[in-house]
Amino acid sequence: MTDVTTSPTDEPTRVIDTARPLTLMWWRFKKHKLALWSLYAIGFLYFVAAFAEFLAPYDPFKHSKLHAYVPPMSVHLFHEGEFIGPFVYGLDRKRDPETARLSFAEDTDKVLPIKFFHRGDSYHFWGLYETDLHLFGIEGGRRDRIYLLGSDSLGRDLLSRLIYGGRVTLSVGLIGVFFSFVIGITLGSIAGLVGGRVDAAIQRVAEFVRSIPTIPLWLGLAAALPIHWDPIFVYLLITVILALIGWTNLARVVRGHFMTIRNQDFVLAAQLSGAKPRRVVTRHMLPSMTSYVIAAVTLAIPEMILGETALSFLGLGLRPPVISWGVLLQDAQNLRSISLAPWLLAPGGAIVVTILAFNFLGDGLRDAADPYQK
Amino acid sequence: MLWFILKRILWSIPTMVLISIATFIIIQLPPGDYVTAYIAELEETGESISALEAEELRASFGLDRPLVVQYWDWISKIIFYGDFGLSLDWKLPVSDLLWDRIALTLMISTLSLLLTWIIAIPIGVYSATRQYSVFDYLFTVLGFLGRGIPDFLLALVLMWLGFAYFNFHVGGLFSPEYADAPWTFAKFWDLLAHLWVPVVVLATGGAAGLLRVMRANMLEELGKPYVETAYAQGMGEREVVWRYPVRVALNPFFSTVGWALPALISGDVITAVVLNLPTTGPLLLRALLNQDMYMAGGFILILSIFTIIGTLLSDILLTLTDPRIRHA
Amino acid sequence: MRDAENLLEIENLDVKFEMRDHTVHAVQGIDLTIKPGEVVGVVGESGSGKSLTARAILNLMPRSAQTSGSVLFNGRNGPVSVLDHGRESRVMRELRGGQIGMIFQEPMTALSPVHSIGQQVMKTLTLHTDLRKAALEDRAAELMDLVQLPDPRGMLKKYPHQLSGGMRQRAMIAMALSCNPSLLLADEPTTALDVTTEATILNLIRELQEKFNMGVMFITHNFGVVAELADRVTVMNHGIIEETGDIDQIFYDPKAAYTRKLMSLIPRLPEYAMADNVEAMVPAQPKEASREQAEVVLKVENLKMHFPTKKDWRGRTVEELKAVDDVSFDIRRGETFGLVGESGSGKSTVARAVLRAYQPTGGSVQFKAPDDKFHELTELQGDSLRKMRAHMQMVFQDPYSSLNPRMTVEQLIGEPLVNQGETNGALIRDRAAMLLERVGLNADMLSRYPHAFSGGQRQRIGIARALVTNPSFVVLDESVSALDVSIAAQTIDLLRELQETLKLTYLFITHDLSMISNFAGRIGVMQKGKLVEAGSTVTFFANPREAYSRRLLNAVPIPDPRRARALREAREQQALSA
Repeated sequence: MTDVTTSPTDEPTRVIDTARPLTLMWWRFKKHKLALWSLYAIGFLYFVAAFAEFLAPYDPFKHSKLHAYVPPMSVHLFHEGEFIGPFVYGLDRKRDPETARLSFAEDTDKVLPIKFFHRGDSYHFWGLYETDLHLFGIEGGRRDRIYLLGSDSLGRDLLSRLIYGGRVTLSVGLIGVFFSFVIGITLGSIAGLVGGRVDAAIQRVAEFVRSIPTIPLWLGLAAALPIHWDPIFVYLLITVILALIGWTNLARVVRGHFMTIRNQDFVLAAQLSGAKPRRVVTRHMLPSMTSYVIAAVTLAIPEMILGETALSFLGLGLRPPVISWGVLLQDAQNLRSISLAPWLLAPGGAIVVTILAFNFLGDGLRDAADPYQK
Repeated sequence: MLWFILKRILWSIPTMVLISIATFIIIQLPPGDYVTAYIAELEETGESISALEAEELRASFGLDRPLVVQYWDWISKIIFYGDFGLSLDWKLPVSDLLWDRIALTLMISTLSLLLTWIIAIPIGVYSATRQYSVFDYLFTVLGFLGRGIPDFLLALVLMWLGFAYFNFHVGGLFSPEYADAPWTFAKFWDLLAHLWVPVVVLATGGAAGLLRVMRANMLEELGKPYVETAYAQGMGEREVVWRYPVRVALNPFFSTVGWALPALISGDVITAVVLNLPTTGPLLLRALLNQDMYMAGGFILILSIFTIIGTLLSDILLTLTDPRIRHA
Repeated sequence: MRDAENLLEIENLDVKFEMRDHTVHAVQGIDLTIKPGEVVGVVGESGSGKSLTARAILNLMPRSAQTSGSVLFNGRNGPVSVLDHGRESRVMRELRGGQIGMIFQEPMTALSPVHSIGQQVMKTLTLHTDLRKAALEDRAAELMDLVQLPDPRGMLKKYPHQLSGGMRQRAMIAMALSCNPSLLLADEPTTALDVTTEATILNLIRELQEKFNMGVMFITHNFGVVAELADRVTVMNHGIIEETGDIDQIFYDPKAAYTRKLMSLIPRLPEYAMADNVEAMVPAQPKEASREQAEVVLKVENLKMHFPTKKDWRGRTVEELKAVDDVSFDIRRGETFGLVGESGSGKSTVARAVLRAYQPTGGSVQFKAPDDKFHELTELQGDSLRKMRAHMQMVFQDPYSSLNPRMTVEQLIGEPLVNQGETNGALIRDRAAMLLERVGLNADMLSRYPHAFSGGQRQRIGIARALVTNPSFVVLDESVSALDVSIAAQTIDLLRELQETLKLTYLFITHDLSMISNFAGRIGVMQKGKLVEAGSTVTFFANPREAYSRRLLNAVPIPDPRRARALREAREQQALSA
């Protein structure tokens, strides 16, 4: 029995020999550095979204006529060559006598130190209890404010709005994907398991949905939502609309994997040893494909986020007073406001970072999904 | 083969019928109708009309009849007379407004598709044959960036950069002096000068996606035994790569033309709004916001039908290029 | 020791790959020569480095390969030191296809799917000759004729997917020979083919080799094929040469221990299968005698398995594939029934229909369960079928896809017990441990996952899984075909031993006549869904009744060069006199 004696089985069991599938996937995923960093980045983004009230320095609706279009302020550490910790300078407002346009400059005499765990605008944290604790803020007069990302036409703090908007946009991605996941996995697994005519019918429907240009369809459906409805309800319907169009890809992935796995010998082996259909599906087929489905779902999230942003940007999705990154970008829709206040494009940067991170993460997950291939 | 194409064409007919029904449902979805919106508009200006007047208005637009009748009325006129109905907002026949805009949308989409290919194919092939080289990494990063930046954002940024740093006004398709002028060579030249911006904006997103597809396809094909056979025949690397795997790797490419087109048309709609192009986008948006249903319906219908035709063409193209399908 | 007479001289060839943390020596210290008109067989199991050696001759190794040593090819324009020229150099491109032809294993994937046969053959010709247009096409047609493809002109317009495996391999040979190479490298060219096709392709290669006096390097894992073809043989193992020698010396007087081991392990047809005087040769078969007394445990009658291939618009079947068509046989307790046939003959479908992986479209399968009663398997449904599965099990061909990679060995082996309703975890664990030791593995490997095991070990786990419910009947579906010779031999030994001690009844599905001739008591031959012949192994091999059986038997490559030569001479005599 040379096979047995010359092979590594006589050696003590190595860690890799008993490594569970999840462990193997994690090892493989870790090698994909970009995906790993993306995972951290996404974790950070959702953390910020979850603790928006605390992390945002101001109430996102608090406006100030005196502070329209304030450019982003820079944080200084040294004042007149002396280290005094992080601070910003006060603002010096000037009005151009010819164009009547306001402009701001740093008032280098006025040092406004940044205070951490600052008491500022009060809020209901997660609707649970009232507090006014913020991660940071500045002390100073009533007119002194800190705008790290600048302010908009009504003098609202863009950073605070960006943080609150992230909560909406990022959750639209998750909820939208959840809906399309439910539709996609149901139809996909029915198609993959039942096959035959049912499969053909579902395939046709998916093909049909995919052949319609998405934006006109989104626009058409979104336009059907009455303006006066509750924003929360509109928000849910928007995600449903995104899901109604976005499920096809997930269904295709699920169906494809069911088809492949159905023909694997180990599935037949389970059947031939008397496994009930339920066990074959839950014990053998589903575990082999969950990782792929998770990867596909991850790659679908940015699609949803893009959809929400595009709709809101055009004024057909979420509407003020709801804050989302798409809604924020509406302010940057025309050339005049961008040239006046280019920092209004900042939500665009957040969108790009989020989409990239999800794409990298999805790619990494997909590569790690099958740790057994050579 | 002919039979296959014929069958494929026949297959697309039920799809088109479905699209028309879906379109009709979409334009019926908004609660109320044009008359409701019209009344609301009047009320804002302080005027009002009686319920009877409203009913008469409805009857004159045919809005009081059953939906099936309205659908048949709508679709039969389109099929038999090319009559898409009256734009309730513009008080003009929809077909008068539709075709110019659709033509420009199609032109921009087709040009972007071509540009997408011109960018994606050579770079995809290069990246696959020089896997893990510096340029492969560079193109991969650029590809991811292209995939991550939404079309309209890219358009916004280009607009801003052009304005702020190059004093170049990005947007529109014609300079003001040519907008309503008859077609001349000068107008055409003016069009080209404006056209590249939307075309480039649309092509970057598409090219980034296709680049990844092409690279993956090529990597798979390069590992196949027939590539080794080609080397063993005495071919040089360039000939091997372009004669064999590229040919095969292009097949899934052709088959995705059908999907690329809906994406490009979608992209055009939203980019056009940002760049203020006289294509379908702004008009469709306005029609939807005003519940100008025949107008919106006409646009959605025609755009969808063009994508179906695109899918059809890509299938036929695939049949022509892949002998395995041709003989099936 | 440069010898002008040598066509190819490989001296001290090393090929290694630098990995991140270690170096893989794929080939080490290879010395090999080929004279003009000489056929050198290179034999070895998977991973022996034989294919890489062939690629080194063409300088077509993976780019990450690091080489040392020398490969000298005496070409038309003088000697060329292959490794000193770049992979992309003009010299090498001129050699490849022009003076050295190569044919590959996979006839389906080794040809471009989007170019016609004609385009591909003519491409080689345009690269190395001045032939153009009509002359080019004439030469291509001539080549089609040379490799005995029917309708040479029409063949040029065909695409690979329109041809059978054998025809594709002929086209591949035509391509390799198009520019009259003096050296032909053949890398397992018949491994993917059925045995009857293999025989004709081997004949063709030999004919052409003689006609053009080519040197041939023939790479294979099959000693039978080498015996048919080679003048000299090199045996490789783990990247080194174990032994090189004259064909008769290798086969009848092997020097290296490794060669001797392989020689003893390769399955051979029994002597009587090739003898003229059958009675004198047939051994007393104890199995044969005991079989007559044993009771029938499986009765298959008029089994039919038809698959619809085309339906009309109402969903009615208008065309169907008769994968199994009216097959009847029975199997007695304790015996092995071998079901042989070429690919697509329906042998695996029979096994699956018997085990009720499919619902047969017709016929009956009666199985005698331990309750000593016959049960009609085709009528069992639901729970009664599930209970019955405890008594009949299957061992698969592919040791990789037949084990769920996400389950531990304990879960894998224990699964049939769980499916049969066993819930006692400790009992399942003990039973799995017991079986694991029974198949020659250690019980402490229970917590490992399949990826920790080699192919042969995985197959043992598959056997343990099949036996865990104490079945009386086991289907072996090509269960050793994916394994290397030595591993296959050990697995066969294990199966034999298990059969004796556990009183198992086997249905052995295989394409390998040599292997099954030493194992099965009775044999059935399938062709195109029908059972053309069934009977005792001895009768079958000594005196096959049907023409197809004879064709099949004659095609089996015999690892006995003297016999192969004698047969060939006899055939040539026949051809001359005819």
